[in-house]
Amino acid sequence: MSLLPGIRRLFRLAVRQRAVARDVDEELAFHLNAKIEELVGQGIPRSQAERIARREFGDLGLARKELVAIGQRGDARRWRRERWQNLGQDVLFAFRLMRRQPGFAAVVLLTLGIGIGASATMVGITRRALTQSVPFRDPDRLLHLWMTRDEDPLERSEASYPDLVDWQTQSRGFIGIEGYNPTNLTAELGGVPIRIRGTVVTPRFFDLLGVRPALGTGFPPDSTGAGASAVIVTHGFWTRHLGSDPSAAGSSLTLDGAVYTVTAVLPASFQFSPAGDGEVWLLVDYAARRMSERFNHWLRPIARLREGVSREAAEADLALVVRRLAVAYPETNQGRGVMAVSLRDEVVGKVRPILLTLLAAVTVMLLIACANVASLYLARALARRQELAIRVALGASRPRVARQFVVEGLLLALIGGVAGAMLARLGTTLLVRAIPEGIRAGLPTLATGAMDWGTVAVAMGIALIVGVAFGLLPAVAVPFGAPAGVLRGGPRSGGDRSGNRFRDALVVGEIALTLVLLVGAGLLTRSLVTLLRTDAGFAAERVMTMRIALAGPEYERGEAQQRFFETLLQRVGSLPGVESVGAASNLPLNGGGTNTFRAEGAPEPDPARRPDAVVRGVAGAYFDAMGIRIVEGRVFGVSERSGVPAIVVNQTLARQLFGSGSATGRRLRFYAFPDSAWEIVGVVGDVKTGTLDAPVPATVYFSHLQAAENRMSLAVRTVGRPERMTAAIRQEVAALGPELPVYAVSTMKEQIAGSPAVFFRRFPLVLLAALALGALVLAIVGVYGVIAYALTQRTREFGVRLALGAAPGSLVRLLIRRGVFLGLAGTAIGLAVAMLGARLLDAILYGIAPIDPLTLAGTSALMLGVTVAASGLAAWRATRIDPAGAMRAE
Amino acid sequence: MARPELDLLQGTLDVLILKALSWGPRHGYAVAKWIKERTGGVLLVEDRALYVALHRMEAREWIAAEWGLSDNNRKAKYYLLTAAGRRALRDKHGAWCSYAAAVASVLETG
Repeated sequence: MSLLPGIRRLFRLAVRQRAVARDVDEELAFHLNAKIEELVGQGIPRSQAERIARREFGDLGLARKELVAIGQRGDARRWRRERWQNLGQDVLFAFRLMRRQPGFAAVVLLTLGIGIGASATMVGITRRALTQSVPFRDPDRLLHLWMTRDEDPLERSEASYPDLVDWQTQSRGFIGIEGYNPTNLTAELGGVPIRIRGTVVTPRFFDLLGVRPALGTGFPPDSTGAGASAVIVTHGFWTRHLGSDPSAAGSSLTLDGAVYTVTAVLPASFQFSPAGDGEVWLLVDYAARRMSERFNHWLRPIARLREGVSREAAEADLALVVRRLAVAYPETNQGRGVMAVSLRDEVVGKVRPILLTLLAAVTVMLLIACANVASLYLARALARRQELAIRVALGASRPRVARQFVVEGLLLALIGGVAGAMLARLGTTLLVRAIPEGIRAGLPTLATGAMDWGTVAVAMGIALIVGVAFGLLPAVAVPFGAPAGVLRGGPRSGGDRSGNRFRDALVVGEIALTLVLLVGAGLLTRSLVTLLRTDAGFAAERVMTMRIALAGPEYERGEAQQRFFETLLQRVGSLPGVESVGAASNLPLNGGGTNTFRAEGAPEPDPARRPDAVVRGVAGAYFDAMGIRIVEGRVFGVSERSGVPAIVVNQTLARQLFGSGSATGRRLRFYAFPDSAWEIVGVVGDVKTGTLDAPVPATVYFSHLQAAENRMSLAVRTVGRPERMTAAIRQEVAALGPELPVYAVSTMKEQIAGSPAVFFRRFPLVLLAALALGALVLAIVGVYGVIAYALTQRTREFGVRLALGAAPGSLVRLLIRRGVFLGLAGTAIGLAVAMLGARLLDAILYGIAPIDPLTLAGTSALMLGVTVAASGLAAWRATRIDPAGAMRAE
Repeated sequence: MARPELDLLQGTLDVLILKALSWGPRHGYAVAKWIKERTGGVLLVEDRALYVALHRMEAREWIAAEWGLSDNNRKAKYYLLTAAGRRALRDKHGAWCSYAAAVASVLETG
């Protein structure tokens, strides 16, 4: 009897529940047999010997029961202990492997870290944007109402105050309807005037949202009278400008020259993004004329659904009210409808497709990262087959070896997850910082771009899944179960076909996914290029802009406003380095109000069909400074100081009203100024007044000399770089009115780049392009790896072929053919997926269809070219095989 | 065959088994035989008790078990002392000797 079995016992690391009972039976049987044999050897008859043996043994049944119980208890205890010991061993072993192959560990950690980090960032941002964007009580019952026009069902406009009151009193589907209107104000804080954003609201606005002030009481109940001078400030305003003073409620604040009393401070969590980043909240001014004007649409209504009423039902009921009003007030309300949108859609509707696109993109990126890591993992598992075979030969069970892989995968993935979580934190901060302030204000929950535990949880969750998957992969794909063959043949002699096929499949998948990202980036690039190439109607180069708002008693009269801007333009115009200077009530791409009108001589149109136009007040050489083309007639000059009421219109308006006929000399009547007719003195080129991706609306320009403006933006065309003039222009403003705030200082180029139309395409484009580039690199590495591995596997065979006279080039071609095959398969799958997925991008594409042949062809060619290049690079080494050495090698 | 039979004191069997195994691996039957031979049949060891003791000590890892072949080529379960078993034997040996000496001195002087 040798001790070998005992030693083997030590190597049997995995203990299974043995058939304890069978062992006991065998042991007892042996004992009885031995005893009987001995007795028989002493000459006792067998039957008697059996009896004696049994008697001497004692209660056999009881013994059996006792022994089995002891055995089972011991097994269970041992199993539990060994499991923990094994886990410790596995972890130690995994660490040792990582230290032995730091390159492998670094590549895996980096790839996983980036993949997990990117996806956790996007998941975190998307989750917050889509679920926490309406931080109010019962957010699903909050609606945003819009007025519509039967003429143009897509047009959405504000409501007039009288309409709002009628809606409040006559509709039945809502608990309440309140209105808000974003505005800009000049606040005097410590003697310094600053321009801030504010919102004018109806009295029960905050009650409707369910917001309670953190300090103070809110608007006084008697809001029609003395309460009109109440102001509620945000938590941010309170900390920045009121020194977080706990007794701020009751203090006074000067806004636009009038004194208000701070009645409340909103909680820090408050964010009503449809109103932008308004810092002060004022009550509507009941004395203002617009409160009684039914044609003046300036209030945006929000509503809260009554319990148990659906959005559709409430909308239908409100539509009835709107129709009744149209009958009662045909002059102003005819042809008007209403639309109820959930507040959540109102807030995130625009960014949802972008977020989902990016989410899909990072998921693809994560998949590619995983495919790469899996490929690396497989290659290493194949290389470790000999080690594994030895372990199996020494008694390690297959599940035990598989678990070793899982532990290793988990360890790497968890470290990758931690790295990913840290990257996600960084990524979130960078992403949020990359969003222009104006757009960020509309995306609540992003403004507070801090890392949340949800993101960490997501990162770790992804890591966990990835880790287990990687661990199981080699166990499934690598046939290490047949030790003898592997031990004899070494790791390279066939037998790992399934592993190879797996790697091929991974590379094909990587190529396909990379192509999807490339197509996405390509489509967005084409959209952006098309968008930026569209003629905006103005020349953005070398134009500096800044906004000035006149406030205070000395500027109350129109003459004072006109005098101020005329003087300022003159002074700025004489600055060295200034080519020309003008001003406009709203710059291009900045939107602005509209007025309805009719052409003189034309029949009085149906109230619902009155044409309307975007209106702009301009001063100085505005058209010249902004580079707007004069098509016909003249633009404003000094003659407007005294002459007849004159307007300049854009080509769209001229065409709409007069077709191909001349517009100059025709006159328009505006319902806002019913007393005078305005003569068209010139026609200018179309300018994108709203966004770059929308058609140009009819536009009318007034001279500020005939309709004074209290707020205008300077447009200064410079000789050199526009930024250099900023200080000098500011100085001129300060010289004229030191108390006046200057804000929105930016070049026209910056304005284009920061405009939502451009930003909402460039932002995902930059991210998508970065992801696509990363994916491309990973795919190249993947293809190269597969081909290079194939080469090492076949070195000996190639050596033989070369020795027999094969041309090295033919061997290279043989390998490249495999790369081409992989590339074709991947590209075909990728194209199919891309065509299905491109629909996701539909909302942000501009000027091209989601299935764009040029993009698809271009990206496919790129992908194939790269694949062939990578396999060629790897295959090139086949030419350097030394036949003799290769045949001796194994 | 008449012989004086003594019941075993608690723990005695363990030390006897350990001692039996200290000379090398044995199967249960050999252990029983060794004890019987060494004690000249004075101590009555029921086979059942012997096996229970063997298995308990195996569970406590004083001894390890392994299947092997007996002298006449039969599959048998062999027991061998582990390091812990060796330590236990040393302790028990000392304890047993001082116990026996104490009892003997009482009985002889009394």
